[in-house]
Amino acid sequence: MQPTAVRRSRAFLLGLGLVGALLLAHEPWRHSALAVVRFPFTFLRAAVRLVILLPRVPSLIEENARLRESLTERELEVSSAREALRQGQAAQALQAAWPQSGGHLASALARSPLPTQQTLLINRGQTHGIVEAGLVVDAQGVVGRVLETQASTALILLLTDPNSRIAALVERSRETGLLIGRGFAECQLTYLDLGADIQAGDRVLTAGLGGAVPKGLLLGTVTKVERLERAGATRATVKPAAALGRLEEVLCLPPAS
Amino acid sequence: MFTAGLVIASAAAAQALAAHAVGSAWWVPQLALIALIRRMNHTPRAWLPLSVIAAAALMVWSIRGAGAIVVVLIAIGGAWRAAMWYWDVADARLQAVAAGISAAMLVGVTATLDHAVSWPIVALIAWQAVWTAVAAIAWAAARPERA
Repeated sequence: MQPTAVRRSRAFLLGLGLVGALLLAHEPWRHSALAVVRFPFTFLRAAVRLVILLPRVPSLIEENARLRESLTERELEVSSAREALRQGQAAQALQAAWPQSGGHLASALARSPLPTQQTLLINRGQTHGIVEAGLVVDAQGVVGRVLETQASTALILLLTDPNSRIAALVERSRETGLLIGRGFAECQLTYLDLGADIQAGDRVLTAGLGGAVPKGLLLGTVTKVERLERAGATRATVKPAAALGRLEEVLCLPPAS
Repeated sequence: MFTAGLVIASAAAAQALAAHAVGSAWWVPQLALIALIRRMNHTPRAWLPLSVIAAAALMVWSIRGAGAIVVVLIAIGGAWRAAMWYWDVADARLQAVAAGISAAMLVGVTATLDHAVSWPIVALIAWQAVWTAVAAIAWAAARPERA
């Protein structure tokens, strides 16, 4: 090699070294410089990993499918555990609302497809101690009464059924009347005098007349009052306190006497 | 006929479960009636047994007026059988109209027998008829009848 060429080569290497030292020594540039210098190594490493992994791809696919299956199973387990927890909480809320009732907890199964016949099928029956004419409640108030019992199911006549009749009283004024279902989400309080002391917002409770139904259980709230001058009577529309549209867990109370 | 009976009974059961899920039977179309009307097209001669099966499927849930339900369902079945002589009952629009009228008839009769007729109930019966007709069209679209 010619001495001039050697000198040029050394000068080039020296220059390169100086530039490199400058880049690595100066912090803002160091990061970028290292990224550029390290890039081939990163690429090489990825390529090596790919070569190592390639033979394992079929088994990895199988493993992935197994993991997905397992994940679905776990998700189902978590979902059912959540439902069990929700049921437990609902049961606790019911027991807290009716602490001395001695009732039986039941879950709603289905509802009558005939809209004017407002009934609910529950998953407890004679073998669980459910008796006919017993009152059924949820955490908010009265749901209805047990109409029929079979060995492991029972049919509940909801408050809103046209055949449902419960003696009721207005909490504030103690006016008494008969609460009749209307076939949809409302009930009607009838047999009130024309001058009956009742107004929208009044709470309506069970009157306990006849002995079968305990006194003082919340039935609903008055939403509308009609004074029928000709008939000399008052009629009130009552919205049931119980969430009759979304019943899941209910408590079946034994008849009062 | 066994399949037809199974379809009708399943439709009635699905209707009861849907009523529970939705919270009120007023918001669920009369699936058992739609099933009756559609299955009768396959086996027109079995209109009476199919009507009785549909009545029985609904009577499982009835707490009163069981006789009226049987009479209404047989009347619906008979009327649809008679309609087969005059019209093309495979037409989905005709099926929808029949399903709507049948729903109004069934619910109207039970409401009358229960002394529950009021303006809100009349409106709900009309709604039920329309909703059942729409469901019949949807059913026909999902499962068109073979020519």
